[in-house]
Amino acid sequence: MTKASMQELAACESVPACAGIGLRAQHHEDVLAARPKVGWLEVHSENYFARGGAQIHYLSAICERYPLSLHGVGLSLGSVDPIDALHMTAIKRLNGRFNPVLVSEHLSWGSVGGLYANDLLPLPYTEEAVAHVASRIRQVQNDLGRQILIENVSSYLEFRCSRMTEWEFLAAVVSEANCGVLLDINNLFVSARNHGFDAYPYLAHLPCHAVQEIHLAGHTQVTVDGREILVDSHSAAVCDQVWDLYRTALQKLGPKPTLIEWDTDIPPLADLVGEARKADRILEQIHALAA
Amino acid sequence: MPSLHELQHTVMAAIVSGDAECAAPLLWGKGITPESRIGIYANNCRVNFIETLQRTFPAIHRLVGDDYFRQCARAYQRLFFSSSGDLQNVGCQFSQYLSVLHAGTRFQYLADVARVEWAYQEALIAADHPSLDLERLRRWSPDEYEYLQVALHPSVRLVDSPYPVLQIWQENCVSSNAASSIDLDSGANRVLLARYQLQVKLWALDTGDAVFLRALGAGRTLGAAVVEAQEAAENFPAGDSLRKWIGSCVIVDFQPEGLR
Repeated sequence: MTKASMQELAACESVPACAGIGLRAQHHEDVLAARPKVGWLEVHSENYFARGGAQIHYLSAICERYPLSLHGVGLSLGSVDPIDALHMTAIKRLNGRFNPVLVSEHLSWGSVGGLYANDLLPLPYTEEAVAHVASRIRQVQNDLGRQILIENVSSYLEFRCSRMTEWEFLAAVVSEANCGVLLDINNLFVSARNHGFDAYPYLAHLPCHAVQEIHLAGHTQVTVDGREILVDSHSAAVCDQVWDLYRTALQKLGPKPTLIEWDTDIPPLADLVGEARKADRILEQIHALAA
Repeated sequence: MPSLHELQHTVMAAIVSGDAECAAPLLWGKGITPESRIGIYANNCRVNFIETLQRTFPAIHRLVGDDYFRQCARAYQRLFFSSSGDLQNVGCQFSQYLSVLHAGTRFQYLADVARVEWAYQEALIAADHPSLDLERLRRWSPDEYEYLQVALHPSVRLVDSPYPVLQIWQENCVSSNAASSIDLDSGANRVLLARYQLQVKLWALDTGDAVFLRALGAGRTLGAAVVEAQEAAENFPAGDSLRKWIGSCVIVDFQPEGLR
């Protein structure tokens, strides 16, 4: 077995296939005081780029009690600019310090020419983009000395030059980069609705072997040019249709570590834990079926 | 077919400028104009930038009000678009921007309040450092202290202003009461910021302490820093000051001159 595949196996084995929650600073003290029964926690890497201080103090304390996943939102993996060395150094520092069970980034770009939109823009689904983003993922994996997961993003536009579907693009990138997949079910639902494709064939064509984590979140609806657009706001509870899609995904993938994300209008910790319980109940049903 | 390079530069130009016409031919419409689709990302970019700036500069936001703050932040974004994947960095030039914007007006003080707020953010995330090892210090004779060079905590920041910026910051950031009237001519402030345990503390320094800490921060020996402080403030109490700043974890390390 190669060193890389051993690391992949070690990472997979150390993440419990149960529900976790996205940890935000508002809940640092609550998590330490209440010790909620969730399987693991995930943080946005950029929120812990500090060299010291309260954020690092709390994360260190929490990390002793829960498996931790690092989820990046700002690396701009798909950009044609060189990878930001300072940003990468900060991720490496976090990876070395906290030894996370998973490290993930987005299959997107958000910067070019040194300008950052600080958002997750979709890539065109072309062979050129596959080769480019796969080489960048390999670069990051080499720098970190571990496999990373890439997440499908919510999108509000499609490029005319795309020559394949999103799931074909995702599968091609995974194949070429030898990375894992973080399947965001809410993002899939949002993009499917926004672009008028069926989410179920997407699930059917996923590279199942590569999926190591699932995200669930809430979204909001806005009207643009008289048409409904779903926005991945992370500001609400997971909707029924996303729970349905989640059940279908688990039937195909088997139980997977599942994260509840909530980043805007953040509710009390108990509400997040309640959402995690719902995911756990579904995971238990899938475990029972698999037994 | 555009290259990935061309496509990304065109889309980013549309987001930065707010003019999506150039990017429209790259996108499918499907019932929503390409301009509106780009507009969703441009709006996210604008809102995220302004909200981050507002969280970083709460006193400035309270002082100028929401409408003017948003107008100001939008203009600042046009000049200093985010250059980092870490959105927290967008405020790094805001005080300079306010300084130029309000040069020669009665609002000049806002730039100095912004400098305090940015220093506060820097102090929050600076590296940790243990407090000074007093046992180690006791191995030196007090007669030799003057030859020591000290290290300040990595979070230490000093902000000098001709305005009472510490009081302005406290009234508009810490206090939840309605802001009282502050006389801008009521005195200069030399503000020291440093993290103590997990909190950032702020002090208004007198002349002696300000000169003393600046000299130490510049690498002078204790002896040289005391001389500078006493030249600036005749009765500078060197021993009390040293004890105070060691006790407050502002001075956190030392070594003999020449070993740095």
